[in-house]
Amino acid sequence: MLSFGVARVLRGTASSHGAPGFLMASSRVASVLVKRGIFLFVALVLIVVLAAVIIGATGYDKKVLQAIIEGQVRAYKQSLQQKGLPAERINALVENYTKTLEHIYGLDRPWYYRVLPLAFRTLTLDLGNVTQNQVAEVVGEQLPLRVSTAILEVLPRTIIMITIAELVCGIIVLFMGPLIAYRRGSLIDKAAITYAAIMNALPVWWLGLIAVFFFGYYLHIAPTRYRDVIYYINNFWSSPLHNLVEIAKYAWLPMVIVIISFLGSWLYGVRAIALRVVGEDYVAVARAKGLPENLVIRRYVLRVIAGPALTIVILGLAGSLGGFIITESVFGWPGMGSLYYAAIMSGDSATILGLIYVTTLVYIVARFILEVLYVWLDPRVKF
Amino acid sequence: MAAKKGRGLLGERLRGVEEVFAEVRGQLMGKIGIGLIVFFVAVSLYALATVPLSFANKWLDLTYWSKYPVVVPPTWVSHFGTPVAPFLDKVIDGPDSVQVQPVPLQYHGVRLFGVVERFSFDYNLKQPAFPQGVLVYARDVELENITAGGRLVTPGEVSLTVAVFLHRPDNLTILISDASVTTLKDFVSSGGVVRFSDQAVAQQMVEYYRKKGINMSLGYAQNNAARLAFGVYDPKTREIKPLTGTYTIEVVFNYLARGVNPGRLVGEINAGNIGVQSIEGVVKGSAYGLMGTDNYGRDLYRALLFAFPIELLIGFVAAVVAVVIGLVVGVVSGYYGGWVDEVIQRSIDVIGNIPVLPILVLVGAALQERGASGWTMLFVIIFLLVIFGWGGLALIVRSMTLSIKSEPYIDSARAIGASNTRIIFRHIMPQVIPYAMASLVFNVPSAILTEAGLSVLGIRHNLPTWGTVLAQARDYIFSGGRYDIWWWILPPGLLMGLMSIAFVFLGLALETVVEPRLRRR
Repeated sequence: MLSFGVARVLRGTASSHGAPGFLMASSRVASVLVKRGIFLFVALVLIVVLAAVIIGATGYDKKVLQAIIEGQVRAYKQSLQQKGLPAERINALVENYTKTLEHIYGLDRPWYYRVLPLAFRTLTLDLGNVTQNQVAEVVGEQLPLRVSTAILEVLPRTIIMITIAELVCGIIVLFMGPLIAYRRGSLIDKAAITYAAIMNALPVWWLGLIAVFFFGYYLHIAPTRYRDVIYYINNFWSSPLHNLVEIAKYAWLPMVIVIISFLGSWLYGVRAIALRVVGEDYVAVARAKGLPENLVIRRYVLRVIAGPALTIVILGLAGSLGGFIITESVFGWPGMGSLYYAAIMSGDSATILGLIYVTTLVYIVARFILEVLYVWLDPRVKF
Repeated sequence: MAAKKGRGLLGERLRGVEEVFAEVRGQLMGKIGIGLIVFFVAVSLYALATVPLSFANKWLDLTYWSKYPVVVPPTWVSHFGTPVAPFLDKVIDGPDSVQVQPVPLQYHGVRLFGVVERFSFDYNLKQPAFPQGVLVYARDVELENITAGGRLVTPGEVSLTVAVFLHRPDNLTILISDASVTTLKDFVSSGGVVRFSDQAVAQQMVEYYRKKGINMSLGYAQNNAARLAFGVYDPKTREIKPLTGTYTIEVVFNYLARGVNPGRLVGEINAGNIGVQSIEGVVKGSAYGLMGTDNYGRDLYRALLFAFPIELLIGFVAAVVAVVIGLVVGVVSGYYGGWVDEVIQRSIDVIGNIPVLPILVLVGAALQERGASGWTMLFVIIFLLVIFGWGGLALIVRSMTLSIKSEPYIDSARAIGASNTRIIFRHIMPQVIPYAMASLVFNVPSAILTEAGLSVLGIRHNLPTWGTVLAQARDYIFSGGRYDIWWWILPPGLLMGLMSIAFVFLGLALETVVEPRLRRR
């Protein structure tokens, strides 16, 4: 994910049609932005359809539905047997029942009759119902449960853990990045690079595993069952201060892990960008003019890297919503990642499509906002 | 621009690569990076040479590992203060004695009558630690029919009692296996294995301590059978302490065939026509190997070693293919422009918006449901990694191509009649190759980590890789096992980290090649 953001950012001023335009024609900007918006929306539709196709064409949803039908047929057969009907009659009734069920679930037609309507309904935000218990468990509710409710309930948990962590991380990075780039070759710089290299190399979830076992099982200063945090979040307003403390007790370890690992990759990215800028002529001029370092950083460096750095931060935030399947699974944290995981493992097509739609939507909206901001922040961007 | 002496198309493209290598070699980080990568390749070659491909199947065959201790640390922990009971796996080629037992004899609780064949081997327990158990395999058993008294006697008519005794250093001898009576034929067809019996040991131990005035429940004895067999119970501290010293394990095969003279039977056994000719004795210690074992007794060292070439394969194939595609597509898109460019750019945009991990997990889960084989899943994972990986480089290469395209020397080249192909390969390619290499360097670790991540999530391709081993460690702990299994958790993660660091260092060194502005003056 990071590579795409950085790639776009490093594109610099290469225009897309080889003809330099001039930004002043704002209606032109508007039309380009509109075209962009439409394109992004089409991309969103395609992605949801793609996910639906994967679910259908690989026979995944068929297997899941068949399992459901088998369960119902078995129960039906047992109830018939208890009534003491003759075997032939039972078999005939069971066969009839099976056929009816298959028709209801749409198994008697090819997969695209099942998944594509589901996909289109999802696109109109009619996300449907959760069908699997495993998913409902993550949410902490019972079936019947609407997918939209499930997502909305689970969202805050991920937002708490990951977004705050990324914000803290982002602040640290935005401060340290230019400083380090400025003092290239110094001890801080080398330490930062080494740290970033190591953190990029080690899997986040491995650190998480070790942290849970060390701090949780061994030292007992962190919890080992993270599902319990649901209670404190759901009842937050009943006694906000107390619940906040409780939530913090659960959230501190995952947050620390996320911050540590992200510090690595972001530090490196922002440093790379800042290095580009610091090497520019006008910075050298500013320094030659004798301006104090702080002023040079604030006035010249920060403003220029604000754009690219902001890109990385916002894309990271938006992308984190869906991408934390592994980290959340290691901690057992009942957030969006765990919801995804439960949905995929149990074959709950409606939830899968709903989740993919929501997370991609957020990501695309974030990108669109970025495009607008980009035009505003960096006057060199030409269309 | 002075024309370089013709080095041919290939030579020109290599120019970019050569420059890169020269730069990288000259930097410390680059040296470390290259050194590590050489190390990894060397170990992979060693692995390919020493561990056969069939190891992948053995990994899944749990019975193969039944003779090894489970969840034990490596043997070298003894140097750091943890006492270790050694692992013993010995083949004993011939019995100590084959004798006739003319009258029934009670030997430590087992009735022997007929022909008694004894094997024995020693086990030296020097450090205070408990072995996990004892296993005896009958390795070479002959099953010929013998004619006696005008009749053919088959192995199915030879009754066999197998008993394993443990002679302890404190002169106590106990029976450590069931001593049930079966036939020679049945014994062989059921695998020819004698196992440590918790019940037999427990009963004897309870009896033994009762005679000393110490009360011990049968349940407790059964749960701690192996420790009681190799240790002494102290009623004051209620603990079992290991008993060090030399143990002798005696394996007794008692044959009886109706209608056959026992002396005759002895002769046949000695001649090698019937009966057990050699056994393999195993004492499962409390440590094993260079890296310990997992919860099925699988040797982690061999697994991690086997995984080296697989990891390199995943990383390199995924990264190289992605980079090559990105390079080609980027240049084509930037150079030719027009609708080709538009289409490619839009595709990259769409792909970039797809949430990678969820889709990967989705495809993985769907394929697992269909029961795809291990190698197929690996191939699909690599395929997907490539699809998600080529876009970033393509964008960068494209923008570089665009800026190079507008340079004056390109126009001059065209003016003197250079074809498009020539321009691309002679002028553009050499300049974008450093970027490609930098991208390669970052794609490799990301591919490896993603594959490991998928394993942790349960998308099992069932081949032993570092990620799979970690994933199984996690499953084991989360289903109630020990959590202090450092030898199981740390090495795979460290290996992944080391491989990634190698490439990251390489990338950092490449950074100066790619960004000339960063070169130290």
